[in-house]
Amino acid sequence: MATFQQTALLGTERLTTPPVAPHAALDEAWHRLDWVGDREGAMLDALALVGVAQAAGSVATRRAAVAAGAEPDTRAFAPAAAAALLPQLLEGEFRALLPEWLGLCAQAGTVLPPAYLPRVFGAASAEERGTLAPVLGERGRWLLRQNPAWHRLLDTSATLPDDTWELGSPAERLAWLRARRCSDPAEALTRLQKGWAEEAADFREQALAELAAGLSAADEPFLAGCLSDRRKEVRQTAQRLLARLPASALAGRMRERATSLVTYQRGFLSKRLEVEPPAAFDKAWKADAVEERPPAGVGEKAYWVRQIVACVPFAELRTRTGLGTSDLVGLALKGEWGELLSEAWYASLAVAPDAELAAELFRRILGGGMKPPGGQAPAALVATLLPLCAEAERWTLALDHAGQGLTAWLSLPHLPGNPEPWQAARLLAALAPAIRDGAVPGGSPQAVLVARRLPMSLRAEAARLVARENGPTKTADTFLRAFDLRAAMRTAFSAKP
Amino acid sequence: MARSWTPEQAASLAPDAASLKAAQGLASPRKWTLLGRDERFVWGLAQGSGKDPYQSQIDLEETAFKCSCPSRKFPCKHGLGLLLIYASQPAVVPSVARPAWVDEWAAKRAERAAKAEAKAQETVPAPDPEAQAKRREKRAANVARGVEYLEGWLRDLVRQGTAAVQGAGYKFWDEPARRLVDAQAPGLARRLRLLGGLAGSAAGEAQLLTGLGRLHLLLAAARRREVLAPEWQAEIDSQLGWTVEQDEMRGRDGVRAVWFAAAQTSSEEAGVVTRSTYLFSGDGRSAQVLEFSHASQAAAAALAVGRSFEGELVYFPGVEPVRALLMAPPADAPRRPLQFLETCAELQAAHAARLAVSPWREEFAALVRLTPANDGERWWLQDSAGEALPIAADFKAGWELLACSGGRELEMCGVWDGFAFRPLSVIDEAGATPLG
Repeated sequence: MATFQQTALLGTERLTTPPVAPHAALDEAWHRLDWVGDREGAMLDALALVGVAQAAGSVATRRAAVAAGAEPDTRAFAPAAAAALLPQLLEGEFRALLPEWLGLCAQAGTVLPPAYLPRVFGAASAEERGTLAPVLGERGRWLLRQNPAWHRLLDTSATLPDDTWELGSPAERLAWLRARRCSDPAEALTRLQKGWAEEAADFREQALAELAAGLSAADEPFLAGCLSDRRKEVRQTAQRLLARLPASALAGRMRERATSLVTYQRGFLSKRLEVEPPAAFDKAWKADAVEERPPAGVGEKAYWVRQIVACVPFAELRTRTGLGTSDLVGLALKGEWGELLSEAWYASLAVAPDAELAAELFRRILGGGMKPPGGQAPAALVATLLPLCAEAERWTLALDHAGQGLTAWLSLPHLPGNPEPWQAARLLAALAPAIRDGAVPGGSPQAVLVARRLPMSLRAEAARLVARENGPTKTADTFLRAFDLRAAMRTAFSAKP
Repeated sequence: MARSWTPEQAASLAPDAASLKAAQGLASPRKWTLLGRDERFVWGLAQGSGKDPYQSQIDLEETAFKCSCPSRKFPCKHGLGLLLIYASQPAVVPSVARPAWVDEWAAKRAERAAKAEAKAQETVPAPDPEAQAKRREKRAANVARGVEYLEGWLRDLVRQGTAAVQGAGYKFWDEPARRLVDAQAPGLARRLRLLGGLAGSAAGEAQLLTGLGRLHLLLAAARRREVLAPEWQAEIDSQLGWTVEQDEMRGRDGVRAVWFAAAQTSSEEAGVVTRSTYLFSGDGRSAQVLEFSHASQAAAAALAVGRSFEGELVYFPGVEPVRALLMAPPADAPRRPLQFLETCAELQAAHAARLAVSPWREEFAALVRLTPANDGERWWLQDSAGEALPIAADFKAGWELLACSGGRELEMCGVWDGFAFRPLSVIDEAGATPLG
């Protein structure tokens, strides 16, 4: 027999038998409907009855109790006026000012207001985790755990339940590992090892990279085992991590190999940095995750040397030769192995960050005196090298190369706050003409990044430099509005609640 | 004293997203060559593309805007930008003496207010009862024809079955709706158009059937109008879409209370924006105030969400009416404690009780204190007894709800229609935060 709703769908002209009342509570009223003499009237009356009865008689669903809520926040939420500025910072041209807002929020001793948390989480990137952490508060930390899409933002201080490692999603498990590696590296390693063989290759790769935090000699046996993993990326991650442990067997072997491959020769008149290319691939290298087959277009011997040299900290060469960084790079470039060595050293920065080497490479490559290793684009070079340089030197490096292409623009995200007044003034002077003419590479968001790097005291000077007779360009207007927004943030956070 | 504004409240006045963005661009002291305020007005000079700067001013007491710019948006970006500055950085708007152009507007406003007052005092000439009766008779005859027509149309529809009209398209519903407007029954036309929006979507099928039933009930009641009690006649008239004259409303008894504007919705139809504000009083009363505005006309936006004010409301005639009219400009007043429904059963029972009185009270606006929860598929509101009601499937701000709750009970204003709850705002000590 057709249900009542089916009857309504099919129409009364196809009605053969009167439909049954959908609920016993309607029986009495149902009996009064004339399904024989006035089908349409009966159907309309029935629709009215059923519709009102359904709305009035809805049944609640039984659900399990809600899991524990957030602990109360001890710090106040950011003032409403400050919060009201947030939507403008979450997307679009002023996005670069979000970290500053978060920083001011932390400085004021306040936390993000709850209603804004989901939007901030949606906009923030994993790299901003550190800036976000101080202003999350109890509420924010709790909320982050509720949505798997936000787990990339979980910072190392997040307290995830202990069974997360066994029961969580991949993102949650990585977050747990990251946190546990900071609080108890040994325990994290033990748990990681337990089910290692059953983990998916992708996950093995990501999880292994998390061991960078809290890395110690205790990790060596496990990492050594990973050198023979089925997946190339896992082998190479293990290799890099072992190379970072100076006392590891792999580090020792690599050092030895590099010493025999790269030699410093001192003659009467000249000093030379020579490379002795190996005659054949040594099988022992394979056990240390050195790849035998080079990618297309790369010579195999050069490929082997590069992998080995990249596993040895550059500082080792300084000690061995007694030469400074600049001399070493200069010598290498004078010889026939310049390109190979610079590529290997550039790669070694991933194993052992070296501020001196990074600054030297920055100067030479962006100054045009040296070929970019591996044909890297300037954007990638600046993003890799500048963050490794000493904070005090970054402004100098960027300003010294302000005249060359996009270097100053590309450096903006990596410049630390609080420059010397003359440095800030020079940056403004160098970049203002492009802002004034609306010819900024990357458009308004880049102009906002400039404003973010400058002290507020330069606001008037900035307005003067970007002014035009027939009104400001859109870029210049955005640039000045960024100053205004920054001023508004400061006012909002300093106001008494 | 002038009321204070939060930046959110100011932003909520924007007629559209583009205006808000433009206004945020102007919400910076740098864009203004002059800024000032006193007890009642805020003003500023904004440099536009023309030779002279635009004179922008706001009457804070009645939330009225005036600007010399040629924009047809209301409020224009200058007015809105000015209010945003005042709301977010009051310190940069100095308290100074009014310039002449503000004085001029103030004088005009005072004059107009006095005139309106005088007009209200005037004894309204008694309308010609004979002409009035004639008009009423004519309208009743018109509506009766419309009712008869729609009843026949509905019968045709259920004869063919609703499956047959699922792909019928806009015209199928709009054509009879037009005829009902001609028959002076815009309320019927509105219901019909809403049903047209549901037809064709699988999720709307059940709601379509329910809506058809309610429409049929209304027609049945309209046919029996003459034998019903006066409040039922008024109820049916309002459902049919007949408006009550302002003068008649003035004659009715009002309810004085401290009201809290808990939530607001707005919709646009044929260039008319309808802003609906949900008000609640400490003694458990509720009301819905509708404000209509044209893009080119002044919007009386006094009832910003989160505002608490003392004022007199007159309910429109009907059966347990919800819609009301605000009789005088509201005056800020401290908020009174509000009554919240704390269980699903309470919410369902209160709604059912309303439906028992009138089947056309399909939407029940309520203050609830419940816990939002998510099961990976949809959002729920749960009470301490473990019962849960579903949140509307197309509700977008579930995570905001959870964030505000912190996993605990949350005070909200929203609408329950017997099938799903639609949260409209979160209520806290500071006021109320609208949910997107």
